[in-house]
Amino acid sequence: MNVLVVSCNHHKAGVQLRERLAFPNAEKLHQAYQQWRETHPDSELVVLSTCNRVEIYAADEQGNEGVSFDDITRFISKFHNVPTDEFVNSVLAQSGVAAVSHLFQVACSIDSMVLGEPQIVNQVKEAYRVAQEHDACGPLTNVLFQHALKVSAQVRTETGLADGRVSIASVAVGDFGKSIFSRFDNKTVLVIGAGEMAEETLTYLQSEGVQRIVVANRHRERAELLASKFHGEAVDFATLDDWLAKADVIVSTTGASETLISRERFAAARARSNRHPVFILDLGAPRDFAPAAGSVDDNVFLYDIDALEETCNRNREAREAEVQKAMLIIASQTQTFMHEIYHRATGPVIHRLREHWHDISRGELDRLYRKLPTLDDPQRQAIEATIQRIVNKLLHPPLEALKDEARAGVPEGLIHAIRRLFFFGEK
Amino acid sequence: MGDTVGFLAKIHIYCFLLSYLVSLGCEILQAFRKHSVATRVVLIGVTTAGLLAHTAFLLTRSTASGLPPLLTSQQDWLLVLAWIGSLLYLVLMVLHRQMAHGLFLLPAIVLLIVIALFVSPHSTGHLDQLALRRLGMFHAASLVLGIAAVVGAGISGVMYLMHHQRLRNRSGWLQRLALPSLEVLTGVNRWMVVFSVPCLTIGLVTGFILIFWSRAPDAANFISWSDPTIVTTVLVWVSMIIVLIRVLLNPHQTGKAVAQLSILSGGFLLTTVLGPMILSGSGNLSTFHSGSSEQSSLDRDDTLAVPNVGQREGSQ
Repeated sequence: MNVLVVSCNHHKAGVQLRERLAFPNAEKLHQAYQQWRETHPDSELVVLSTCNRVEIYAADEQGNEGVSFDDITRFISKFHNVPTDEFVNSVLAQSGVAAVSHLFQVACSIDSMVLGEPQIVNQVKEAYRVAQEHDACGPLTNVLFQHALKVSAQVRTETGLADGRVSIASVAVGDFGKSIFSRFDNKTVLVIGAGEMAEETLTYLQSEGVQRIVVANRHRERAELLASKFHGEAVDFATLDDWLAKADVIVSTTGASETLISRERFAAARARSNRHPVFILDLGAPRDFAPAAGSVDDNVFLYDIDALEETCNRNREAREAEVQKAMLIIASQTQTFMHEIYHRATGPVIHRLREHWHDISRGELDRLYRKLPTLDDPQRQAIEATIQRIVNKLLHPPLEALKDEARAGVPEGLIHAIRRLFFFGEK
Repeated sequence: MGDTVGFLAKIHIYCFLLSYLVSLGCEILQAFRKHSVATRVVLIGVTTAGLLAHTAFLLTRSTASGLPPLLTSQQDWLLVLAWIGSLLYLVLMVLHRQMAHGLFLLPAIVLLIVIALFVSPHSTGHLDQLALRRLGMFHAASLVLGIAAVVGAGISGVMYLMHHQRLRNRSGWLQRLALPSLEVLTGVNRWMVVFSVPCLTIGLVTGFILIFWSRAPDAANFISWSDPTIVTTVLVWVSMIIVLIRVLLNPHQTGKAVAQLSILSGGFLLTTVLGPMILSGSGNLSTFHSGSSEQSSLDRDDTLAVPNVGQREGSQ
């Protein structure tokens, strides 16, 4: 029984690397699950790909003989056509308790750039749903992800981690947007993409007084849906360049796998404008704007996700006490989860042993009743109770030994010994 | 009453200069360390004390000379400019407690006061008639406001450029400074430029009227067209007109470009207006405004100048 995670996240890797390893859309994820299934048909897999992290969770019930870190890194390398040595030092590889604790921290947004941000729970849920859709989940990942979502809910309820500025949008607009503009009610906001992040950003911008919202998306219906929620206007994706010239605030969150706005394209759009200040928030992974677009003129302020790091660190320092509370919950829940997992591993053996011994006692009692047919019911009940007590007393030492061992991990050696001792030849 | 007047008369420039230096130290401390209530209390207390001492100093000088501060001496011009700055700083500090306005305003205030120490404290050349003195007051007030606006434009320009640098390059130490938004700084910068031009223009026009008047055959004092203060003020006025034209006529002018122009104008002001003031204060340059020109040579001694003015005022 084994749980592994290979994580390329904002702590260890820059956005340049993360975008090379990202699975930005449904199509890429579908291909990834297919390729994994071809090479590792017996293992479980969940891929979590957001703007801040690319994480691959793998699990199997074969312990050390199953899937390994090398398998995962080779898979990433082959899928993205990126040599292993270009990313292996920038990824985090964890197994067992550490991997479980890591997922819980991720789901609780302790590991997020913006502490307490709510989007990550939905992203974890979505990653789990997509893995289920591709039949990539199994007994271990099912219980692991369900438990992670429960822990996340507990942390949100019992700590103040989610209080205050807790979204990437609120931090970006609060720190950078308000440093550029003193008011937003007279600004035109262009949103490129119509995903959850776009919605989150618009919610915050609208609370800051934004009145004119324009949504451009490749799929017009989704743009219209999002625009209608915020009393905005959905525009044709073909007119994007016109809006790039007009907008004061641009939020880009598409799932495009290539750069959408090159420097040249943006420079051409700016040439048609009066070079007013423009605040661009590129939350795409890979990034939608070429980094060089930020230097088109002095009034262009382009920020990608990594630009928020320093503000987020200050935010984290201010809420250190809540982090400690959340970490205690996570530690306790990780321990509970691991016990459950270990007991799940010993469960079939215990069940089999009980069944086996009770079958033997039932068989011997039947033989005794045939030899002594004159026994009345109270006598039979007394004999059955005695036999039951004997079986239970004999079962007690091996079962206690299994439980004790299971507190520290899966008692592979003991399970093997019990099988050899009592089930003769069963593996 | 007499004790109070005596106490106020003892206030020296160094008293409020020291207060502002302490305030500047507190501002630097706040910028690089966490904001604390104690530092803020000290900051407000010291600045208020400095401003009160500053006000008392100007009032005492004005009372002693029998003239408004702006007509007393060039030194008082600078001190009035610094007083406007410190009043503005105190208001901003109370209204926007998180902003680092002091890091930009206080050095300018301190600089003006330090320059004032090197500028002639002697009475400005006398204007004999009441109407002329009123016009002289209007002339001086317009120029001081215009110069204040140029200095303000320069300061907001520096703030804009630092904020711009912070936002574009995310420089580490600049991240700690809380500054107004670029939109606010651009607005302040542009309005300061726009405001400075009419003030300087009015100051210049009234100055020319004073020159014509002083050249009348019966005038006691004669002001030369080539007076260094007049020449340099004209140069500042021309530079501000150029900046204004660029601001108003070029719709694609970025905030950064306007800020750079404002800083240039501010620098120009420092060298052309304050330079001659310092030179005349040290006796290397003769100018009517420093009270060191030949026409006002009788007033070089403070002990002579102040009673003379008072007597003339009283005889009107």
